[in-house]
Amino acid sequence: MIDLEEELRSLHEAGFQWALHCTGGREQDAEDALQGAYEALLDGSAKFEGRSSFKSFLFGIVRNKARSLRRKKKVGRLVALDFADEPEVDPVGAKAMERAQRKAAIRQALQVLSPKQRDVLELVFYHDLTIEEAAQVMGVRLGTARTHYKRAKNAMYEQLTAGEFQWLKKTISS
Amino acid sequence: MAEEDDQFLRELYNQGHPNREVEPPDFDEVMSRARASTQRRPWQRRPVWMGAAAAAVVAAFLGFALLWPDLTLTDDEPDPSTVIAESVEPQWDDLEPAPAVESLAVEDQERWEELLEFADEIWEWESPTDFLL
Repeated sequence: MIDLEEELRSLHEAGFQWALHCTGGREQDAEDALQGAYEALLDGSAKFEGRSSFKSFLFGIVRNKARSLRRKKKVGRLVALDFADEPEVDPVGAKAMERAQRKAAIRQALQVLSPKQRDVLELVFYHDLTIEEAAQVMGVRLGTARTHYKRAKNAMYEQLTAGEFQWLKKTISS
Repeated sequence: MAEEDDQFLRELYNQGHPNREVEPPDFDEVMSRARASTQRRPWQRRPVWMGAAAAAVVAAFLGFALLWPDLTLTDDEPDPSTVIAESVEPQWDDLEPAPAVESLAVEDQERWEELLEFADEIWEWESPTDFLL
């Protein structure tokens, strides 16, 4: 038996980050989706039966709540890591410049990915889930999630190591 | 893809993640809102009272449609169309029979004969203007 509140508290930040991803970076929608997930857990409409990790279970609920919010608001799916609404940071110094360039590079690389490919990268890279857990969150088969993951990495790598972004590999390695 | 490249992508993705600097809302605040929402009475939840209101409207409509004839026309009251027909229809039984010619006074008998002759003439007219001839 898990202590629901303690589990939720420990996953609150990660859950919110995932909700942000699912709502295209809209903070208010992300908060609503997270609250909706907590409500579902509190009123028993979503019951954890231990078939997966609690983290992937919670992420699955958050994803569904975000989707239902999006349907209600008739907001189309946006690029998951969309920087469009983010105010441009005035780069001061070399580090700020480099960070801004990395963000720009990732944004460009993610443009070529499908929504499912972006989801799987977000779950595996940013939230440290296994591909199996990511498949559970996304509601797809393990083989499908593996294929999305592999194609996403290849496409992103090609984008980032081609042309103007070749310098990135050097900065990461150093 | 080599392990090194895999790591490169992961680090790059995480370093450049746009949501890194976004602060999450206060956990206790979100949790208390969620609790308040689940503890609302059933009729305070929109889907429940909206469903009940819709059911009430449908029931009222059906009831009105089914009961309307009974509400407007009872067995004790005659059908309005019958009432009108009876009031317009002449009451033949109430008329007195015409008196026999023999019972009339002599003058009246003569006038009656003239009237009958004139009626016969009229009957023979071929056009309404014949009486001028």
